[in-house]
Amino acid sequence: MELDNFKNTWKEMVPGEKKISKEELLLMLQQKSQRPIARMKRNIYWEAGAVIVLYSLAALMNYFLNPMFFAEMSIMLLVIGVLGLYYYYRKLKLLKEMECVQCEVKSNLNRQVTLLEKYIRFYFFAGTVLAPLVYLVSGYLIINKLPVYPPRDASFYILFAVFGIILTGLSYYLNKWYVAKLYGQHVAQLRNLLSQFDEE
Amino acid sequence: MFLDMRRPIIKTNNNQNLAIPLSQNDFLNLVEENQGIMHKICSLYTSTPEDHQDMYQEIVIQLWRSFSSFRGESKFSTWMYRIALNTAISDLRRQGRRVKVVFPEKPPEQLMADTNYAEKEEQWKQLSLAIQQLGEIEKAIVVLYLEDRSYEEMEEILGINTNNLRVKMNRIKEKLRKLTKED
Repeated sequence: MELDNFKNTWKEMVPGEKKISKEELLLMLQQKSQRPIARMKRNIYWEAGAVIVLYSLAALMNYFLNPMFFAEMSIMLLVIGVLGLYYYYRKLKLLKEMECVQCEVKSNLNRQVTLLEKYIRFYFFAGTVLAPLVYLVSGYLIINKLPVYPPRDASFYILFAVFGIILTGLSYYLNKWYVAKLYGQHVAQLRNLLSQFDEE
Repeated sequence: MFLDMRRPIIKTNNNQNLAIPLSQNDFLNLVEENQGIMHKICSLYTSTPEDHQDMYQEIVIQLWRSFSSFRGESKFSTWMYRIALNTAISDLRRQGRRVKVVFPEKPPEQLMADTNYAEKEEQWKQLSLAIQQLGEIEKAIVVLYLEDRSYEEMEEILGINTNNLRVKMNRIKEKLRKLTKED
């Protein structure tokens, strides 16, 4: 059977699935989208909510329990919290732009690949920077707020710097592996779909 | 149920732009009228009834979400095909677990009533299997071709220029011919 001869049969074909009534359609409209982008957006709202609550609580507790000693820590927590919110805002913005289901299929796929790669780069950068940042903040607090033991001599600072470099390296490679595991296959599939448009 | 009035601009036959308030009920009517093609697309891009149902629901949700921005600048069918195909093609989770099945599961009644039914059914199965073996984009082209969409409309939906589409269509036909012969 040639494709052209298949046309009439195709048109006559009544899909095996049962007809869906208006009531069933209405029920569908009340469901949440299960697409990966929609799920990622929902996760971001939850994570950002959790960051706001936890960082605010931690900062307030620190401030009220030890106003003299931990005021700086409270401020640092707030700064990290605000940076975290910017991180979620940026991710959400990219996710919102990532899909245009009303656009031509090719341009929608192009947009998805470009913005997903941008999203991954941002995710990777933020993830890699987080560990050394926390390390530096903790180091600052240890050096300035804790009693003099361990002694703050040259060997202490060298050790501190060496650990910092090792941590940054580990954070870099761990994040690289994790990002590839999370999104690598997805990007490859999208690229494969896109390449099908240009196949000769 | 909530009432949601929307005002897309619909082009009349005299090329006048009219703002017509469309309600949720109008949307449901439009979806109901076009559910045949939506089912066909789901059948091509899924392999189990559960995935079919999920994809169908996802398409309906995406159509509804985009309905407020439908301005009638393109035909409703063009707009609908874009959303349905975008939703189906980029659903990579289902593609990952896809298994090849005979599509469609049931031949149409007209074919079953035919005197050469057995022979035609065999051809039907072969072609259905062959279509299943095409790439995701090739399947989209085949759907639009079988739905008698013009190359211009296909270009509007897929974003592939008409000349390229013609070349691709010829290759797809050749591919299907080879695949059905091999079977």
